[in-house]
Amino acid sequence: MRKGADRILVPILFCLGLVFLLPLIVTFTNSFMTEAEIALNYTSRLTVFDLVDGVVDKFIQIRLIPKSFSVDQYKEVLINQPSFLILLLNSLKITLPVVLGSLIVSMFTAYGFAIWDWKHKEVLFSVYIVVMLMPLQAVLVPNYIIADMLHIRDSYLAIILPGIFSPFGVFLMRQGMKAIPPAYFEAARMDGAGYLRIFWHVAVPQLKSMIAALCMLLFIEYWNLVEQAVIFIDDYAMEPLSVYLSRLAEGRTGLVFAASCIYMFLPLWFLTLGQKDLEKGIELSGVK
Amino acid sequence: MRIPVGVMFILPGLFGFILFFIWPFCISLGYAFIDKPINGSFTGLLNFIELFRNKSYLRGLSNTIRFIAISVPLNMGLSLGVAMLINKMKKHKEFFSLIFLVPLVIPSGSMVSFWSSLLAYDGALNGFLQTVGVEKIKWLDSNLALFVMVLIFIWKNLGYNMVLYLAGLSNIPKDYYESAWVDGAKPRQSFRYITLLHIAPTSVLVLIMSMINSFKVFKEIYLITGSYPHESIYTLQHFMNNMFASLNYPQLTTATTVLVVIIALFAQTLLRLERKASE
Amino acid sequence: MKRFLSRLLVIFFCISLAACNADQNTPAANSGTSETSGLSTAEISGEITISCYNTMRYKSFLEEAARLFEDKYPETRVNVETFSAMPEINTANQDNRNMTAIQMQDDPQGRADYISRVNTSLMSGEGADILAMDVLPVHKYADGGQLENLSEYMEADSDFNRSDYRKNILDAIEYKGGTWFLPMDYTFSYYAYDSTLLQGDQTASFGTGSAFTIGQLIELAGASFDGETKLFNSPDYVRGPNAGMFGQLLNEGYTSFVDLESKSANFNAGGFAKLLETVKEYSELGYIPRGVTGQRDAGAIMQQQPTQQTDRYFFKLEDNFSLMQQFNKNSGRKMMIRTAGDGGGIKDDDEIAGIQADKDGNVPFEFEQAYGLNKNSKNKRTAWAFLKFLLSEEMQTSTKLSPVALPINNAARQQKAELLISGAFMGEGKELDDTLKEVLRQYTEAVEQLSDQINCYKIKDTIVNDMIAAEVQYFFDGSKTSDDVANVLQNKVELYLGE
Repeated sequence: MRKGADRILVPILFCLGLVFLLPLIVTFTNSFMTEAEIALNYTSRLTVFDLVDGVVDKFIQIRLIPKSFSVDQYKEVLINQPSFLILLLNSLKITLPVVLGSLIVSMFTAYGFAIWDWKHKEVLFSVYIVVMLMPLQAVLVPNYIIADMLHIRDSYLAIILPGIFSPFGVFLMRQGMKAIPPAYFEAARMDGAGYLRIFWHVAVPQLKSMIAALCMLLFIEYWNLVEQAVIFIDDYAMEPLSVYLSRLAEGRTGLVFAASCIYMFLPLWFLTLGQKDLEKGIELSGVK
Repeated sequence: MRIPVGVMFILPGLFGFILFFIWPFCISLGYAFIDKPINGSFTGLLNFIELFRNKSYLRGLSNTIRFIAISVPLNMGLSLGVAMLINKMKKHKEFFSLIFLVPLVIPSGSMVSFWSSLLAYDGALNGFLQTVGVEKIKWLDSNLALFVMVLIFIWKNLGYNMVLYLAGLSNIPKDYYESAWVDGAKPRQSFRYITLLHIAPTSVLVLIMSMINSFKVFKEIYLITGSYPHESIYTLQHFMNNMFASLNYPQLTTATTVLVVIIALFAQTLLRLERKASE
Repeated sequence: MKRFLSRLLVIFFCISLAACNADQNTPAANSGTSETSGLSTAEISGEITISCYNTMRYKSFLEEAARLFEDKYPETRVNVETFSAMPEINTANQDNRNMTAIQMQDDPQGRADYISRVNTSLMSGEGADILAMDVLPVHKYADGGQLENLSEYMEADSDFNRSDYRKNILDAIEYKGGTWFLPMDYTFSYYAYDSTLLQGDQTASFGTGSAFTIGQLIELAGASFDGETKLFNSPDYVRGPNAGMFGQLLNEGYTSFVDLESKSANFNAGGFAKLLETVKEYSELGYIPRGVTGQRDAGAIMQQQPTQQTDRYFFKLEDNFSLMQQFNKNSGRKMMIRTAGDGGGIKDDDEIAGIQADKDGNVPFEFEQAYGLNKNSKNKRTAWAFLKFLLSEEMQTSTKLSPVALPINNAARQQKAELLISGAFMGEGKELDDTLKEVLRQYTEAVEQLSDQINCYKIKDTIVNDMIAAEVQYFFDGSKTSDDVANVLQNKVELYLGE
């Protein structure tokens, strides 16, 4: 009886969605503009020519459709600035270890929480939650102190190691573990399986969605990393692309669009691939 | 002495967690009780008293609280609304949820030039306003900046909460609604008594995740407006960030400690609420 | 993340010999005596590092100093670290003229990175032994206890004689009861006036013993203003780091808006808005040339003539180096120093009006090189010895230093003046004949008298200055009112200082 509802809903949602996607669309289409057009659109300084034309107030114009289609920006980014690929590699060097490491550590830790029977384990877990809730700036000083003590301050490890042991992964995995009906574990114990085997053959397969979700969320977060990189990495050649992009933002507007599109491509692609899993995982994290 | 197997599994992760988070935090706590970062002398609780007299800190604190108070409920409400809309659809559910997830996935750096081009005093939005004959508005330089921040926050995080709500909604058996309709209940009533009730546990989680994400929006704002933005969006994170940059460790750790206490209390209340909600 | 400003500094040195003397001697030998340290050389040892931001200014000088120091104390090693990129330098040689074009880029991001790098190294208990104070926030380090109080060193070291150096400068840099950095040199600005435009009692108060603010000068010249000739040669506003007439007035009243010692900001009491309006007023009244920013009438811009070399101004703000030109012009020797684009430089009719003062009557100075001693240094004795060495006559007259800066070592200052006037500094010198000796005497007298008036040093905070520069441009291009700008600045600076 609600068939007609679809006809109204679809357009509404579509419009809403369009508004949400607008920044992405703009970035994408503007990346195909020529440098000159970008310079023309994105400046609000009055030139003498403007004054002659009687223009009193000038504004930045965001055009959706390029006047002339060109791949100049992409060429500039990929070919003329080879450092771009190096920086991209740097981003990967940080993100991949974090994702993999955090995954493994979190799964083991969450499993441990699941099978350990200690009356205070919830208290311990709530410590994890409190640290998880803290904003980045609050966590930065402790990270800095320990990185300094371990002499890894000027390296990727200062970012990777705290990332691997971050409480967020443990939280997600624990929620996922809770979603597995205890019956499975009991049955396996009955069959005499050792804990490690149970982990590998019972827990892990059930957690597939959660694993995908965690990977996605961590990837997004560390692909997007800016503050920690600025603080811990001194060498310009070692900084990840996210930092470079944010530095660019106020200079070569033209480059930013193309570079952003390339940079966004990976996470977006992962999103389309793993959307189902991501959603399932986010779902499961809600299970209490 | 047999060590429970569970401990063996937890140990490596726990060890890393303590090494990189708990222990250095305790060390940094030491800074909160001295006056100068180097060769400072013990000053007891003076730092804490000073902190609550510090105008910039108080501003940051009040702005952060104000921001969370506005944006989190708004975000929750809107995402619930969108989730309900999508839930009612027959086809294309996935396509639409994908759309709203995209902003979450886009890196901040990419969006900065878009936002600042749009919202600057001489930006595209004001240009549009001028063509329709309206005065230019200072989006980022006035008290409106807070709402801009809320907008960017919602844009980025709606998708996340929406997915959570979608899951929660899909768990509500359809028959509840059917029988309510049969019983003559109006849509508003069925919303209140069926939907909200069953959404409660999910809502608690949405609340937690929204809070975490509300702290994260600092990154976008910082990239757009810098270290010293308009006073209405100068948040705790700005304060702490600047403390870090000027190496004022005592003040920074004091602020952090206060924050830990606040969050711990908040988490406690939340968990208690949740236990009640699931009953 | 800021746009790059490029400042073109084109210095033409053109020494043409009016007299028929074609004798080009090699530069007079440097007779500097190296200062011996009271401590035996065996005690000065170890390795020290000295760190600075501005490569162009510091690198070659410090490396020479390092070399000479290491020769003197063989047990030592001095490392010099500079950070910024070298600018492009192109030299060309035509006839007997040397032309050097140096293009500098202002890199705020690079500066910020350098500062945070120094900060983090200081926090970890390290950092270079000696830090150059070109971009670092001295007052913050002093407050935070990161620097050694050099007054103690100066008193404890029997070999160090405070009277060898300009006393008022050393006194002026004290902050909260201590000396946290030592300037190697100093520069000041003074006003020159066109003697054809002002005469008689108007000029009665002018001279090397006087100090003026812009307001005072305008009052003095008011009667003679004919609406045509500009009173000052600085345009109202130049996009960039607080330059032009706005920058000058800002410096005059700086402490009334921002008090770094007591951490208070005072922009919205009306004074700042008034300042902005005053600058606008000056350009509207025709006292000063108009900058391009904010002009709306295309026709007017087209018609606006570029400043000519022959333009006359009532007053010009000059730096101390122009004094050299001032006295040279009477000697028949022409030494033309032109800075492109503002019609400045000392002309034949220009005389000295007085030194630049702020609205409280205090006379500030700037420096080109200054150093502080890191409290974390493991080798403070050697570092102090190096600092003393830099203050010695030998190093203070080094040709690797800028010709504009006046050494604070009294003897060195005299010597450098000689070198500059004889041309030896630039490598093309001749003996001082009587005319030149007279020039030297007049020059030295003027410099010393003007310098005697110096009594303060203005601590500047780059963050505050950047905030001001960023906001003020909106006033001058017309998009915000002066009250708006004042309020915004008040809020921002208050937030910053309050932290």
